[in-house]
Amino acid sequence: MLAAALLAAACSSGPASSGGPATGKQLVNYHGADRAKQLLSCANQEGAVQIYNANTAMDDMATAFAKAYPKIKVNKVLSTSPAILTRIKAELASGQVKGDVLSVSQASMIEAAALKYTQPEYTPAVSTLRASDNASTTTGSQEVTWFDSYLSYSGLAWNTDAIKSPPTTLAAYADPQYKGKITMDNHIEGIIWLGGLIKSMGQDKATQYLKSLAANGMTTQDVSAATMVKLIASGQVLLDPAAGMGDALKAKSEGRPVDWAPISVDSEPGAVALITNAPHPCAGMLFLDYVLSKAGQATIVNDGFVSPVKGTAEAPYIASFDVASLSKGAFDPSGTMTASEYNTAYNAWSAQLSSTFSSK
Amino acid sequence: MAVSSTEPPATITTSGGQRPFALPKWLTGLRTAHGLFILVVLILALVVLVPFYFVVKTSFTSDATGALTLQNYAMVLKQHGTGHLLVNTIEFAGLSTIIAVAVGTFLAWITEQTDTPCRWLIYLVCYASLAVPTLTVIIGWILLAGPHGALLNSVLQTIFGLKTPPLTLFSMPGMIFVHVVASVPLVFLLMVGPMRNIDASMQEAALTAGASQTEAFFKVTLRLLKPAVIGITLLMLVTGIEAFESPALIGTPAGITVLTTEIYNLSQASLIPQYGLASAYSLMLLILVAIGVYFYARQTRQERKFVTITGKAMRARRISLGRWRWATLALMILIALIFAAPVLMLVWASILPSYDLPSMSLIHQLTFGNYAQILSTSDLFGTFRNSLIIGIAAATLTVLITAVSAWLVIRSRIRGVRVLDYMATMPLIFPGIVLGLGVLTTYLQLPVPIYGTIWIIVVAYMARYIPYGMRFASAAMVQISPDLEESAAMSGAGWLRSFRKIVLPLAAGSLSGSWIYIFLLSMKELSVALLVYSPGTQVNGVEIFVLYENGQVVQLAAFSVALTVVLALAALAFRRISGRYGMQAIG
Repeated sequence: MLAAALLAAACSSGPASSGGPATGKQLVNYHGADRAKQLLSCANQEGAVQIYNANTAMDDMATAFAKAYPKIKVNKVLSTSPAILTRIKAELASGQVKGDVLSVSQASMIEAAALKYTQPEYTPAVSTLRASDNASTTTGSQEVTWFDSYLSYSGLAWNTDAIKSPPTTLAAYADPQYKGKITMDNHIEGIIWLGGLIKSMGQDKATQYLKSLAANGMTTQDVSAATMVKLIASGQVLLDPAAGMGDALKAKSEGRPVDWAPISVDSEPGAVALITNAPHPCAGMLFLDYVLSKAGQATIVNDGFVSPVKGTAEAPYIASFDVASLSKGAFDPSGTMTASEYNTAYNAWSAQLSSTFSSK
Repeated sequence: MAVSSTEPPATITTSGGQRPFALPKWLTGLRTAHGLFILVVLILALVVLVPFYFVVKTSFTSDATGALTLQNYAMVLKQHGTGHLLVNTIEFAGLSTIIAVAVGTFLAWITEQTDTPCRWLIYLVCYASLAVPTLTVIIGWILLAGPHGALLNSVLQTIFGLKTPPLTLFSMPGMIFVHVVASVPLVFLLMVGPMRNIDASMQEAALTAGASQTEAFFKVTLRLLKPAVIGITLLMLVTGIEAFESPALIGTPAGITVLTTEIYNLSQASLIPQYGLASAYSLMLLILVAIGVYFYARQTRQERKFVTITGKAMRARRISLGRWRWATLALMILIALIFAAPVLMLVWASILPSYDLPSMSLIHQLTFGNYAQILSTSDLFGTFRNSLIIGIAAATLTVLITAVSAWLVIRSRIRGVRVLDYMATMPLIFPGIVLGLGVLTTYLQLPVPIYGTIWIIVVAYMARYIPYGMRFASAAMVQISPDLEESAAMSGAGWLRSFRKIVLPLAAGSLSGSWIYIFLLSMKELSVALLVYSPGTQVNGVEIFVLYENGQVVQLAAFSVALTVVLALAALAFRRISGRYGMQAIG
């Protein structure tokens, strides 16, 4: 009992003892050889982790983590990215932080980190990531303020029952044979798709091209990317230029009338981080370690996403695509812009998407 | 504490020559109407005004820097105040309101004033419709009349050999149609109380004087309903302006943007939520609503003109329609089918492994697996239990506070009493996410430890539904003659006793309708809950959101159907119980 009480006190706020970290806060950045052991012990004492999640893909990850660490109660809040960021902002302002782990799109995460909603953390597994832009980088430090939990690519998906000869180029989207048949979500996938067009064509040509698509009856829908693929499978949507590769190919592997092609591919990874002043820093860090573990990444692959960890085998239905070359050719705005530039550009793309397809 | 009826009440006279009020001793703090007024103002301030303050503050705060600024209003006026946005909003809200009020009033007249057979049908479909989550009912309509792979379009194309789908749901008429179908149950429920309370002798007097049935309807019935119609029209107009689901899911694919979808884009379709801009929009809407409430107040100031419940015996006899009753029955059946159609599509979707158009070839695939899946993979019972507790608490507290508020507004002559009406109407114009932001900020900053508990959701729902409760209560109170309470006061009854023994029983029909309406809305609310729920306080709306975001359309259909059945049964049980205790107006 006494030992447990002492460890609990150490994990909360007590001063550092000699020879190693004594507080949960210190363990967040601890590099010592006994890190894993100390983290587990402290996390078990904390007994709970609260995950603020806007990526439904991470739901299975949280469930798997709960099974792997039964002494830690996993609490989840699933909501939209803006609602989650608003919640964190309000909690930080009031000093009543409840969330430990933040899981949102990489695009939102970059902004969250810039606003200091996340804190620098050290996890050795970051070294296993495929590319340097799979995590935030701080010059001269091994610490990161976020890292990717999964990779996702979007391209053209279509209903194979209704569309026998799908477009093979961007220009073909404006062909009259596809009039009124193209629909895209107006969430992050659609917005970044438009950004990719501007990047590849230039603003003026992209604007003209988008107008030609609107004239050809292209529309947008206010639904998630996962829902779009289900709508394609049921014939409610016929062609989607910004559909998730994993969702579409998984549906195809299950015998649904869906196919996917890498036309104007964009990268939309998901990212995770430890929230600033997280009340359960050890359990939060343990979860972050788990995200990049073999078991954690197995849930990512099983959900149809690409693993950001080197050497992880893809799902069989994705294997026919060369992920490395997809990644190389994909539009990835986070790699070339600062947080402020990205936010400004994203708002401009969002506004253009809305104005182009909301002409009435 | 028990109150002895033999004790003399503390009778007082309010300033300005008002009617006397008497209070039991344990409420001596509320010896005057002013005391009660102050108490209600304080409660409304805590629930409505403090979150409102934070919304106002947000509208004057830069999203980027956090500094105070007028930039948000400048941006709204400069960039987003374009004509088409306002025209679309007014067209959508205006036409929806006119049609919904006309249809809802007509249905209330059929069920309360005529001898049309099977009048229970409309009650049944209205309660069932209120129980269906709005998001899923719109999905049902898209499955029925969307541009691709929709049932009605496929059937019509097959029958008539058409190359293109004849029904265009993704259009302004489509938006209006779906919103009207979603709104008619509310209009109906709001209207049945006032419609039932109309004394048939007044119409009979008109008929005796030579008026036709139609003339009696327009010149007597509708005129007596004037305050209720104006109040409900105002409510529906504001609800139309504030509506989100139909414009987002049907207007967006049609390329039609209204104010709420613009606010949504500002608060959701950016990496850092632009709540400053969204709040500025909301406050501009508040000005429009305040103008509407002002005119409503002017119209209903002379409330005695609309009194239909007096101390005299009242006859509520039904009008005999003769052969026309079969026409009204046919109309009721048609409307019932329109209400039922999207729900039937959801039932079909819920028993398929993956959605497909109805076909005999799919019969062998039918399964209850989706129902089993939602039961096994989610804490369905915990979620439902939370929603139930929150729904009951929010509905009860809201009805209580709005009944007292409406009574004060209509009965007392306190200077500035209309402020209660304005305060109770304020939350109507805030999009759920903005209201949620206000409530979240309030209870994280005030020393009231309810963040992380179900009570913050109760408070948020109270704030969200107080405007609806106020309209239900006002419509009922305005019809009760003050003579009854004056007589009670002359006989020595205090205000609490006359309120409990006279006002509440006479208004019970509308108030019980208000309770069940708020309860049903609370059981499926989403936008506010997304911002204030915590682990352990998950509610039905969040479950719907999770399934929708995951693209689990068939599981979402199963959850919605199960929820609809449970809520519809609860509503009908409530109707039966309340009917037993004399609250007849809800059916």
